[in-house]
Amino acid sequence: MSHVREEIRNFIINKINQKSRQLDIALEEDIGAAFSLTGSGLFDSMDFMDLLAEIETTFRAEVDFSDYEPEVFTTVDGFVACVRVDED
Amino acid sequence: MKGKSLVSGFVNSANRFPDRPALEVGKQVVSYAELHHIASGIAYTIKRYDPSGTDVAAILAYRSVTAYAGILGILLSGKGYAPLNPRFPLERTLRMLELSGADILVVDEECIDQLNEILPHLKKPLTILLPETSNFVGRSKQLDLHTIIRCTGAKPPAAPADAPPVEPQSPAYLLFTSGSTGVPKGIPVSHGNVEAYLAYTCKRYDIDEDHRFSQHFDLTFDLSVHDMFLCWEVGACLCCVPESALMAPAKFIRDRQLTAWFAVPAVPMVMGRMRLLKPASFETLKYSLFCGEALPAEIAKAWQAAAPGSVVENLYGPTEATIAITNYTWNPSVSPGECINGVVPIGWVFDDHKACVVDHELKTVPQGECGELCLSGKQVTRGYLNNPEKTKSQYVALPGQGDSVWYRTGDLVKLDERGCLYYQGRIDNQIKIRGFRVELQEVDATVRRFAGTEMVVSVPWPANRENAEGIVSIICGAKTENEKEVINQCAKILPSYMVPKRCYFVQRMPLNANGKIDRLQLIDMIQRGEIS
Repeated sequence: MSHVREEIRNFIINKINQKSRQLDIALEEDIGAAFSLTGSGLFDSMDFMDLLAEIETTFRAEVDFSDYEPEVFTTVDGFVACVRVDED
Repeated sequence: MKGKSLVSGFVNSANRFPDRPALEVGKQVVSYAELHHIASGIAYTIKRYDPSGTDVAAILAYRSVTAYAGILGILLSGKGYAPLNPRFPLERTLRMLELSGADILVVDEECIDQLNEILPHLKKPLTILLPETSNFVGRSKQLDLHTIIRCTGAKPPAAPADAPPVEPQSPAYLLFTSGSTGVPKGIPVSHGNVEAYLAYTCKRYDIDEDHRFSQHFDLTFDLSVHDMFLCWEVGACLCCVPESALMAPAKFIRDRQLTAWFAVPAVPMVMGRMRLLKPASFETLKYSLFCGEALPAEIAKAWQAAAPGSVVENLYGPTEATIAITNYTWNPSVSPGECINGVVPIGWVFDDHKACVVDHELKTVPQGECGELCLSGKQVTRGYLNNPEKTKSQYVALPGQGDSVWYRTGDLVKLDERGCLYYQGRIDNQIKIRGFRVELQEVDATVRRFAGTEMVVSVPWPANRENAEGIVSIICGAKTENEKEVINQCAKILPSYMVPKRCYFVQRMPLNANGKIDRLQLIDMIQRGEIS
């Protein structure tokens, strides 16, 4: 994984941990590649939009979900794969 | 005199098209004959074990074959259905079950765990049907109170059940909406009400057995009735949108080659932000309907471009007037000029129904002026479940309009010279979040319980868009200022869309000239960062 993508991945994982603390929901599994942001109950659709906006702003990148199934792009690595970065 | 049941259309289609697909859930395709057979088994079991002949039976099921077969089965047994939502907190589900008066509950496999949570709280015996489950092991000591019928206990019927004749006024379904006192309001919708809706929509839309309908709404949302029963009325196929695709159903629409789409405007708004509304994305769609909240013109425009072969319509209607009662067809050339404040008109009232715009004395306002929308006609229900006071205040006679009963929507509208209606806002503190009705006072009442103070005001947030995305609560004089605790406690009572995203603790509340808490000023203070 490229350096930028690794940063994006860590950014998402930090957000997941923040949400978990904010909502007082213990994480039942480790935050791995297949961790589901929406399936875990931590992110609803609006939270997901907020995360999308933050990533696009922070990394000056565009996110395109159109080629992936929702079950994929709502996971950590699935989301990262949808981010278009200059290195690609 | 007896009339047609809501399930009649399905039964006719099952007789005409037994081998055509009626339902797709995941990879499973269920024909009309198969669905009829499964539903008949449930109906037969309900009739055999029916303890007291109540009007409705409840169903706790989610996006499964049993969810749909259960609804059909309940209707085939002659009862109305009261859907529960496994995504609601336990306390709300218990309340809805209690208010419904149902003593029969159909449960699918996915909801078995929740059934085990419900059972210890029930004092009244239930007859519980588990059509998918043969090995139910309850954890509750109170299991003996109830009759549990596993699928192996249900003898299959010799022949599929016919649609029973029904009293037109008897309930086809019972739904609950947010209640400003903190108690959900039950709205029974009769077979006669929904027959009028289906008669109009079947005539309006050129649909037949080759169509493929989306089923996006939760079953506790009345728009799901359109999905199911308009689809089955014409012999079309109902495609259940899986939970994983609800937020972003673009690929689902394409993969399933849907021809008829129906959702709240929040869905295309989210899809737009995710860049999933690209031009010509949905070439199979012939009808795209939106309802439940204000439809921004930009979204109608983007959807039309994404679905160039589709008629795009904005529908409007409270649950009390059965699904929807006005419609407006988007015309790319003309409609942008007809929108007010960037919002698509709600259009014209359905044939054989009436709309009246009134002032606070219920007198008709001059044309073009803003007033409260009142509705009359066969789709208008008779009142709230066991709530004569609220019924009396909302179902009224209007001066100079004879004996007709009119439903006061609480929606502010303007009517133009063509009879086209334009939504302007609310007269009260009801808002919409993703199409769900929310009485802010219900949120206030819940927050009060846990904040230990009466001074609570909940407001929509963000406040600068046509439709709110969430709620924040401002609390004054709380016993302890523990935001997380208040939110977590609310989440045990309220559906997720009603739980405040934030709680702000203040020393004093701003008051307006009448001495009442000034909600608008509170919103202003949050926007300016004076409350954080």
